[in-house]
Amino acid sequence: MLTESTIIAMKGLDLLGEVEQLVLLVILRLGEGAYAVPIREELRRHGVALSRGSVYVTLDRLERKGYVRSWFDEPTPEPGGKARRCFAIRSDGVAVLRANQKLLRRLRAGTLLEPES
Amino acid sequence: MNGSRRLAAALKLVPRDWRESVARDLWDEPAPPSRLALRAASIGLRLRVARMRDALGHSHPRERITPMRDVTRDVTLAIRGALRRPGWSLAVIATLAIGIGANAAIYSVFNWVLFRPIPGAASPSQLATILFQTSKRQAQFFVSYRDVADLRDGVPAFASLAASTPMALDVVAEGETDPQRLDAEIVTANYFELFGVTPAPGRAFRPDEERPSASAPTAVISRSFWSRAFDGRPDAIGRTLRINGHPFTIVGVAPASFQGRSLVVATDVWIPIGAHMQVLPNQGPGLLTERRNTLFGDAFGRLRPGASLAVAQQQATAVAGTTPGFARRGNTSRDPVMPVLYEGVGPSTYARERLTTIFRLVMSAVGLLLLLACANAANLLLARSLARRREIAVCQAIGASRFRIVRQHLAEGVVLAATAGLAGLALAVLLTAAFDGMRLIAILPAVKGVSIDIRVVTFTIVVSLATGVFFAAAPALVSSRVDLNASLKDGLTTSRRGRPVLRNGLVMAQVAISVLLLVCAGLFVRTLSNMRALDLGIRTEGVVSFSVNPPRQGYSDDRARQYFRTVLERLNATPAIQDAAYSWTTPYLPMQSDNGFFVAGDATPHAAATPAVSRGYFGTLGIPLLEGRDFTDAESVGGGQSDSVIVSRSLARIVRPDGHALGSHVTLEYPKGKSVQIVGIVGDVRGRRVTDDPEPYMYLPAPDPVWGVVHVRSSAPLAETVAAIRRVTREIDSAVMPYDIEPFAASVDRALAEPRVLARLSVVFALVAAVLAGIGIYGMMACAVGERMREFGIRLALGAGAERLLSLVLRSAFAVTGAGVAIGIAAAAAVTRVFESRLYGVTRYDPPSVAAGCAALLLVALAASVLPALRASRVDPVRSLRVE
Repeated sequence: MLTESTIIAMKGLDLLGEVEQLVLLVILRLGEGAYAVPIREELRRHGVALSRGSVYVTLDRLERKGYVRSWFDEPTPEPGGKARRCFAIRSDGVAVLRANQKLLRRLRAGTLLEPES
Repeated sequence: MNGSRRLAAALKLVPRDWRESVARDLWDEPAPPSRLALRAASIGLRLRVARMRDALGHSHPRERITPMRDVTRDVTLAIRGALRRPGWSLAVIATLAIGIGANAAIYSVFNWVLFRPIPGAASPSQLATILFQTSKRQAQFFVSYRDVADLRDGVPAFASLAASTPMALDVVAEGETDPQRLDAEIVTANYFELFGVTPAPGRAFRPDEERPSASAPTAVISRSFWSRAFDGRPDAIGRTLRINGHPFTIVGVAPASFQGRSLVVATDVWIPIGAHMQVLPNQGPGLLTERRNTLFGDAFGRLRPGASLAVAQQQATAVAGTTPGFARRGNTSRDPVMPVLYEGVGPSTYARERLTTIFRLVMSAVGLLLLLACANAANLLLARSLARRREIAVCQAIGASRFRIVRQHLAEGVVLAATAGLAGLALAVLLTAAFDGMRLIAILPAVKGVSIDIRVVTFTIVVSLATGVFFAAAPALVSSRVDLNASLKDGLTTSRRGRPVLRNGLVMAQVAISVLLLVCAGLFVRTLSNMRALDLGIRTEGVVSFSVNPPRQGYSDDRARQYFRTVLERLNATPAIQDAAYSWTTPYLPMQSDNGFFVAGDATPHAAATPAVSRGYFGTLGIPLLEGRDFTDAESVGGGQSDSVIVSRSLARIVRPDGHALGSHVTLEYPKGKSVQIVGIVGDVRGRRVTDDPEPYMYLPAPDPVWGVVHVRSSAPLAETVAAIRRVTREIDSAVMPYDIEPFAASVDRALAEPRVLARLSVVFALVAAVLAGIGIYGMMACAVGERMREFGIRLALGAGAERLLSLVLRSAFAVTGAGVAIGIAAAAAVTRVFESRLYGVTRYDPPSVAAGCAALLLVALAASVLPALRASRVDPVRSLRVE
């Protein structure tokens, strides 16, 4: 496992996009077994309307970067039934998310945005 | 299409690893299937686009990096870099394209005449040519039909074995009157089977057509002749062609891709060997019999699958060793004639050897040109990496390895060279057109319609990639060795030591190469002009020669002799023509008769060329009659029984050292002991090769020939003379066509084909090289002046005059150029040894050529450095000092 400081020391901080951070946070909130539809639903509940495509693209990219892992759950009980792709955050994902958040916090400090309302 | 099928199709757009789960997720949100399909398509497209963009652009540190993806990234970066500086990239690409294009063009021309497999043949790699050669491989002979039959039986490694002899035939298509002279082949019946070619419409020859038959013989015609003469109508099959006056039935049309056994001559008519009496009556009926000294043609074999050429060669040698009288052909010399097998079907050994030596020479020259272009491009790359030093330093500072940076540079080189390769290929297509109508060697017809094939493309790809790596290597190694501290601190630090050395070295190499090419061009041009200026001993202006062969039209010898007499009479009576005469052969052909002779009181034989000529030959060709008289008509008509000869001046000197040999007798070696009297002495002639010293000539009176060469001298324009010749021959017998009608000068010109090709190409290469070197010098000076602006400003501020700065810059340009010129001269001294034997009238150290080459290059250097020098002299001290 990589800690956030080793990640930053080795490679420089991987700056996550806003959508990437949002999706990672939602996966954390939903816990293991989150999949695309509830992730999008949860974001909408918080007032963020993402297209389906954006959600899939982000999940795909996060997985290729090694921040989340995925598996297929039980297929629907019918001939040719489809399996759902579920996601969970990896420790690297946690570390990088934390590092990104910390960076934002550090940059925010002393600006008009502080203290938080 | 219903909704669910549309959905299934749309899901295909989704990457495979997502397909199933996307389908399941969509199914979670109830909606009509058509809407689901739309969603699936949109998701699929977005996923694919995102993946592609990620792969091309952004790098993700946690992503597993595969070597392939690494290469893709290098190439993408290189393309982006090239696009960011279009002018610079264009300069590199143009420079390399010139070098690559020239190489591809030369290769494609020689590929066309030398290397490519025979067009239209099935599995050409199984084909082999069987040549009959003496053990030293100097002489080469046709095979006899009987030899072919022996080889067919005795070499099981060959699945089939065919023979063919090329010749020009007079062909009249049905409904036409005038014959046209077409390239034809007389072939064994299995010829088409051997090449794996099936005529359509119609058929190939049948085995029984290899035997003479009483009925009309058959012919296969080329597709191009089919469309020319019969508009491609299928009813051409079964129609009649008159070939040399005899009717032939067309039985087949060869496919368009097949042009016969030659790479350069496209055969139009094939006739079976069984019909040889109709077209080669003078060979006699013995061609197909046991006589081994009647020569037929060249043999070709197709190896059985799995059989090797070496095995076939062993078997052929065994046949030659065990068959009594094999390849005997009446010559009983100590050096036996053996069958020698060559891979493929192409030009004859002699032509192949001559072409190969020219190919090597020209290819080395054009290779040097590419080297020069590489040096030029390397310099441009170097100049850019200088500007990018800071960027490279940043890359290294954040952890890029030196290998990574070298690799990036190489990728840039390969990307630029690949683009240049494409441009070069396009350039090659244009350049090869310039070779149309150019004769590479005297004995092959002019190059025509060269096209680019897969071999040329492969060659170009290999050359481009090698070029890319080569020209990028040095700048890559140099620029990856960056002093991080200095570069990061100050992007404008002036050049460090290593740079100008490499830069100047590259320019020096360019100058040296162009000097070398210029000197070579000078030598070849002087060789050609020396050869042109040679006194041949013949006045070629106004002389037109042509050949006629009445026996081919079935003339008996008596009728043929009468024909020649009539032709000469009528030509002499034509107002446009002053003189007409004939000889058996024409000068500048390799085939000439030789004989030995003895001077009274001396037992050592002397060699002489012994052409047979008619009365008036000397007058027609403008060979001066120095003493004595010309032949009389009576001597010519005497059927070779006359004992009068006319000799050249150099032969007269052999007979009597003072040259006054008129009236002397000499004894011929053949017929043995025959004594002849010298009745005339004429001027010396260079008759065999223009560059050989005049040989002794002994002209014999030609008895009226049955075929031969007629020469006419006329002051009328060429077209008029040719028209007169055609009119006269048509009046006598329209079936007997004069052929090879050409000004005598053209045959001399043909003999100069090789030196001309070398002179032309070397001049073009040298000019291009000089221009490239000029660009290189300009680039070097512009760069150097740019770097030293501050220094020049200080110098001006301290009181130096503008003219001093001018001379300072020019001096530094000339220092590099001078060193390059010196290297070039040394290289020329070494390299010219390779082709010393091709020079004529100049030594390889020829001072004018060397001087001209150096002077030309120094002028180029001056022109190229004037602009940067002026810029230096006009520097504004205040501004240049304030720059930093």
